[in-house]
Amino acid sequence: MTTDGKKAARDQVVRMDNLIMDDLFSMSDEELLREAAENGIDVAAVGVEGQKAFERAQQIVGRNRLALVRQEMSEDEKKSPIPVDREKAQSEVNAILARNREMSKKLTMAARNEAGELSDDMDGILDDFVELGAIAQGGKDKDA
Amino acid sequence: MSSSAPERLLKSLGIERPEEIDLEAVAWSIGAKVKYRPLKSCEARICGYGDRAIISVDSNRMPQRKRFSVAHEIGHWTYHKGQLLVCRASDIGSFGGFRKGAVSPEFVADQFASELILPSYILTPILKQFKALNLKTVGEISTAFKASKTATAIRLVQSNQFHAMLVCHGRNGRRWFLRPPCVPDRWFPQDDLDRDSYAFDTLFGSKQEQVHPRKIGADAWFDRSEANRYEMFEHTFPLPNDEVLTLLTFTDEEMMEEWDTSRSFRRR
Repeated sequence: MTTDGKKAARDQVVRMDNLIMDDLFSMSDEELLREAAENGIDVAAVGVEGQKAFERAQQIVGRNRLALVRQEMSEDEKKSPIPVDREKAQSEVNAILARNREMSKKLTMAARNEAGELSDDMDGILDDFVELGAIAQGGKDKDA
Repeated sequence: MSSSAPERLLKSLGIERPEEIDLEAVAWSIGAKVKYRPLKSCEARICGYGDRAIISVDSNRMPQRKRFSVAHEIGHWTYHKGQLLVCRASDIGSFGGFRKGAVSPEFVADQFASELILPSYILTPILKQFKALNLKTVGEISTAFKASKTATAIRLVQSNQFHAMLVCHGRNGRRWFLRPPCVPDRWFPQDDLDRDSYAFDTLFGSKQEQVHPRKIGADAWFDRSEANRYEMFEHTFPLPNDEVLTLLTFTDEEMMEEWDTSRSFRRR
């Protein structure tokens, strides 16, 4: 079949598809159910099959996504840690926290079962904010 | 039936079996990276900036606790992005709403963690294999889902599929309890442990988990006149911090009958 022939055939299929969809959408639910019953179709069974097909599709897409996530995690593990100037750690983080309260909702922080002082883990917190891009490398706040 | 947020997250990665629940991958899929490192000030934390976050979990904790902490922080990332929160030790175990309001961020994160680690759509078909709830059941399910026994027991009681209740006691009395909707609310556990209860012996004596559930008079647990007519099963295991957790299972159907207390009140 020529390219023009293929295009014409595809257009025909699209027109037929549109015609069927228009027909279906113009019918009420009751009419659709009645017509299905007349044709011997078990609507409930079709619904169950449809749900199963959807769940299968969802699982396939999900597993592909999980594989991609694992690939990204594996690549991230190979990255070298970013060197951090720790001298101004306390003030830098405090400045970010203060600014967050005032002007933005960009920052999230939560600690579970906090028993000590935030400053006890300041090095790690600074590392995290540098890695996340909240503080530019070398201790300068990105948004400063 | 609509899924909860944790279930949607798991389903979006095609997860269908307990061993597939990879929390690091789940976190990554929503922009959060998990790191295990020694922490001094807390058990776990999340630092987020924009739509990316790093979850840090104390590497010195037990595997099940680390797992719950990761799930808890994913809960914060899902519901509390852009907030600064601190959860104190006293907030832990706020799942039942008996000590904290149901809208507290810690309750929300704990509930999320519980559903992420033990999701209903995977758990429910497995639960159907078990006729009774006891600590053996709890142990088998906690192993399969790599969850703590406490978190698993809470989830199983919350599932509302068993006539059972959880009660936690410390040396100074009852700390919290969890009663599912299928258990009538007239069954309210006493503040203090009865000396006849096996839980009392576990807390103040043996400190060992009971091997089997033991039959005991319901009046050892409930301060109601009708309680002395019934027996039930008690199964206790010790928790850290000098506490014990008891799984009470109701075997007498009469105990599960709902009373119309409003009508009896009017008759008086």
